Amino acid sequence: MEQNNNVLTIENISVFYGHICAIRNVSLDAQEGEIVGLIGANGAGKSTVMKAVLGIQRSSSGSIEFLGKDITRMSTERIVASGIVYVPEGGGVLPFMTILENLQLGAIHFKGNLNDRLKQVFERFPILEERQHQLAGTLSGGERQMVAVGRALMSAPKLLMLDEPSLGLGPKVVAGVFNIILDLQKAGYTILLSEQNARKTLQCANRAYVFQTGDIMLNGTGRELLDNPVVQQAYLGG
Amino acid sequence: MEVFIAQLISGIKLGSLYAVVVICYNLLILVTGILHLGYASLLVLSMYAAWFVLNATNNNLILGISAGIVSGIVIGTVTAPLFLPFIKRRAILEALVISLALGIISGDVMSHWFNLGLPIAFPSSLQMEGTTVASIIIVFAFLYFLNRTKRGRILRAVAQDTEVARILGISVTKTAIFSFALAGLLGGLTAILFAMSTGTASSILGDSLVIKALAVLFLASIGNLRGGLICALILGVVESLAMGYLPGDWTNAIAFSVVVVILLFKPEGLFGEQH
Repeated sequence: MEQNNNVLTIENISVFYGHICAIRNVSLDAQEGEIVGLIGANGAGKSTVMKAVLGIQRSSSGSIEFLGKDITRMSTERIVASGIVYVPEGGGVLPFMTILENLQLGAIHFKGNLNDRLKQVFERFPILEERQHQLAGTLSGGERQMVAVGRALMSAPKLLMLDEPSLGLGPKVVAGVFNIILDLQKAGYTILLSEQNARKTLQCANRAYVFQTGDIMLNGTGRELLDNPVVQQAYLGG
Repeated sequence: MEVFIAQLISGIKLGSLYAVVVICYNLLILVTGILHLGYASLLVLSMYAAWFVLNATNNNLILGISAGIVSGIVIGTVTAPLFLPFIKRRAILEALVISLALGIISGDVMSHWFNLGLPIAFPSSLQMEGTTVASIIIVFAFLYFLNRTKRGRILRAVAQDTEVARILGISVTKTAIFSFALAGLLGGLTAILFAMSTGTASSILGDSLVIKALAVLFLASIGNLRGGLICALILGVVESLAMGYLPGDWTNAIAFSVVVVILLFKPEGLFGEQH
């Protein structure tokens, strides 16, 4: 019998903002330990998928399953408590709270030893430990992204959803961000990665879905999509 | 000089009570976005609750004080759901009307149903020194709670950004209800301190208190915790000096004259930031 290693299974969800259809009959899945990329232009529906998983946007149809449990109608509070973490575009750090306080807020539902988690995050991002009492609003874009990812890791999530983590960052910092993402995969995290930087995403993703105006146009392994002429034409400057 | 010092001490005592009241207004503004115009009247309702229990128990201070505090928590928690639909829709004006209605209704209930509408008097055994110290302790305890505890961090997160708070798995609704309950608890404590300090209460005390609170809020900049505390003390001292040197009750006029003058030169309030 084939074992289902799906951490996340989305089947035929559609999300409307008023009368405007943001995503239509979207189905995708993520298996344990995978990086699954969602690529496409701005407004294609990538963030909406993540927000639907988190329960911030409600799907009007279809179902979302996480670790075999139906979370389609679950509250965001319970979804986060069950192990899904979302890092929004821009990071979503709270500017008038310190780095430490932002990290602590990432563990609201965490039942284990908070200090141990903090230690692990500081080991991964030593600069956060050095500046833990600094207000998050005084950090650079790349540093805020680091705080956002660190905060996401505080609850030892079973699914990490990263929304445009490289947006607005310089090339060197972008490279650093993607190195962190690969590192997290090696550490066993399952990652859903939404990005406009198609090339870098397809280079590191195991599988990916290509979005266009709310629909999934193509899907396949990262390699397959990198070699796909349609993808090359539309997203890779080929 | 003696008059000045006596009024100054009295002003600090008064200002410290205002400080706790203003903290509650700012707490609700920051977490829910609501300027709760009825809050002061509900605080006075807690004073009446304490008075009832004191009368019923032959002036048992422990029971009377407990009744004041518990009634504050109950009132805060029970009235919170009235505001929730408006908080969710960010309908601040409608929420303002609800808060005003609560204040008017509770004021009318106190003036028509309780003690034939006459002012109530607290037993002399309740009137004791130490309200300034108690107020300071309450303020510091609240600030410690806000800045050093998990629940306090959650309140601050919701106050800063409700969307990010939701993403972190914080229930904004539950946090809003908690903030009303906390404001109720602080209100209950303040009700007892007012009872200890003034020895009396009436149905119109809420109207007077809300005016003072608004003066402080606008003077400091609405939502500014630190500014609210400082301006509450300033108002208390200015009021007390006015009572000592001027005939008649000019306190409200003086309070708002100061507000107008400051706002003419600094529209964002003394501690606000220019936009």
